[in-house]
Amino acid sequence: MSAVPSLTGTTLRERERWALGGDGRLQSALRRTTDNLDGRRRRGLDELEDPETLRQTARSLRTAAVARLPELLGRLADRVQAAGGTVFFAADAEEARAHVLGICARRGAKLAVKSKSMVSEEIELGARLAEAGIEALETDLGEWAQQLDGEPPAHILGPAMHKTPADWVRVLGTVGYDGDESAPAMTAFARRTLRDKFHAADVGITGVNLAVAESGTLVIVSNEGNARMSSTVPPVQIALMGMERVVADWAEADLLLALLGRAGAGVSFPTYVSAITGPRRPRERDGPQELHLVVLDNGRSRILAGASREALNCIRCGACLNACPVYRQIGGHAYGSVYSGPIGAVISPLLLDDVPEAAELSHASSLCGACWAACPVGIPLHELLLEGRRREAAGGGDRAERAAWRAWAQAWSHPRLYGLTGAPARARIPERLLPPPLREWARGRTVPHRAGATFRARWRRGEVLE
Amino acid sequence: MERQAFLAVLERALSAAPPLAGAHPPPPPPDVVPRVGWRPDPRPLAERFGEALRGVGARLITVAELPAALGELEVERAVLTTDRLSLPPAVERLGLERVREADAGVTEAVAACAATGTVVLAASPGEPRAVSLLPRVHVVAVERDGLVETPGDVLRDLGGRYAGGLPSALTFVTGPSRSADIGGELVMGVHGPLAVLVVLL
Ligand code: SF4
Repeated sequence: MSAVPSLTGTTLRERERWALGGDGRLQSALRRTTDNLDGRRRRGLDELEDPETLRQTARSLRTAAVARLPELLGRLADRVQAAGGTVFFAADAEEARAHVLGICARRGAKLAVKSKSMVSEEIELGARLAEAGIEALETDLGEWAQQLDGEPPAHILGPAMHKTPADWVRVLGTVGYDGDESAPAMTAFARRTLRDKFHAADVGITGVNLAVAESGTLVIVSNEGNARMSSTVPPVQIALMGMERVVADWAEADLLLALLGRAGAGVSFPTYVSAITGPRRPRERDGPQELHLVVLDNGRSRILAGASREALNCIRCGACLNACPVYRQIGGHAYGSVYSGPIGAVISPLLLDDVPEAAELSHASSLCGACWAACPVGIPLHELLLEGRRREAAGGGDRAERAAWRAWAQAWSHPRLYGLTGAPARARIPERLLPPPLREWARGRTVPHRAGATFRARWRRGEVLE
Repeated sequence: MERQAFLAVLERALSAAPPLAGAHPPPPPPDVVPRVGWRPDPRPLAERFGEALRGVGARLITVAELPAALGELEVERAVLTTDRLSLPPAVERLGLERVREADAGVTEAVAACAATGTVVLAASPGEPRAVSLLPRVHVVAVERDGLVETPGDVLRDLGGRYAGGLPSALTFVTGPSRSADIGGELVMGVHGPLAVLVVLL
């Protein structure tokens, strides 16, 4: 496939066409990964006694936590500082990047190892560090492959899920791998190569899955162990978190962790859950000497001020991606933004309010509600997508489309006009002869069979049983 | 940005926020967060623990089985942070400063969870984080008394257990390090250990 299209300068339709226009390998990889993860999610939840009640409780708890963000963030910051860490509040991406760069410069850093962090992607930290002459190395296997290939991650949990073993051989070949397509051999190569980098690193950069205000603890989840490495080996740890990631106490953290592992990868508990409270203590042999927490707004307060603020309840498990019929066809890259799938279609237009191309992302959905049904914290994503469309329409939208909808509303509210609309619907027009807007619609969809007679005609002829 | 100014922005956003979009806003949360309920399982904790460990690709062994297990995994050199377990004569004991050269790290857990096969490690001067992380084999001793049902039993009690403040790092380990990033195939031992042996004392 050709290079991943960027959001600016393209339309959703163009990016969808790009995603659907390949040789079908993307779609088969998507089907394999999303089916597997979605099936595991269902089995994982089955272990619990009453998953639906837990889900509703999680929704209430997250909503309440977001409603008291200032208080919880204040407490978190106090406790992190009391444990010996620093806390920086970044209003936007630039402030966050500048702060990270400042820490790196003070330490004379040359190499930073990164474990998976959506926020670092969001603020494009890697590119900025590279400009400053600091190598920022991804250490999650999938993220590393994507970095080596010059592509953004395609899925929250499977950043390189569209890559075949042959693709992996090619990509790892650029850094010295000369073995075959065996996954264990490639993994062993990655372990050796990245292990050396961990030991050489000046800074470890991690995300934060949850921050517990009660104790000032950063909870970081991983299956590979790279987050543990990043918070054990390098002398400095910088943890990046979206400001909504804070929870009040450990009872809440317990519930969310139980749901996160199950919803995301279908595991009863994630392989590694690190709970970090401050930097290393006196006489400890390892762990970072400095721990720096960066709390990022970058558009989130805009979401907080609006009717879609439930989107801030998201724990980034990825379940809605796997459940979404649109994501399952087009994959993550076609969204053109760091956050893909239903949750991405909700928050990207809000986070990127200065990027006009982002507004139409709420249309990357069939509004079927599968995302909502899968979401472990019960976010009504389909309703938030509708809200997004409303906002887009109010902000202008497409003039021709608005005129068409007005005409439609007129016709359907007058019986006689409504009767007329039946005629074209009955005519069997071959798809290639459809007028352009309909032809466009029919592309990638199956045009439904039209009935021989309208319901009204059949009613008049007495063919409809009362 | 200054903390005060940052939080003031959030206060303002919240004070002007319209009602939530969506037909069914969530009810207020319960006063007490409910425990994560598992389907009841009447079997003894140790038996469930062993089964859960197998399920995540780890092994529950006895003290007597340790030498053979280490032999199978070709462990020649190990570091130890606990005196609850000892190494067979065939395995050389390295000082903690040589953890990078060790094939195995032997540590002690502060708790373990039967339902998930999780062991809980607490960092301290005597328990460096690297010992359970860098070597390709992790051997961990768990006191029978430390065995509880679920991670929630540990998580929800952290305030009580560590009244004077949490350790710098608590790590919940559930099986060996793993990834399915390459072609969807599950592989153990990416960055952390590829084998986890748990000894119940
Ligand atoms: S919106 Fe829900 S399902 Fe989607 S990533 Fe967030 S928490 Fe998971």
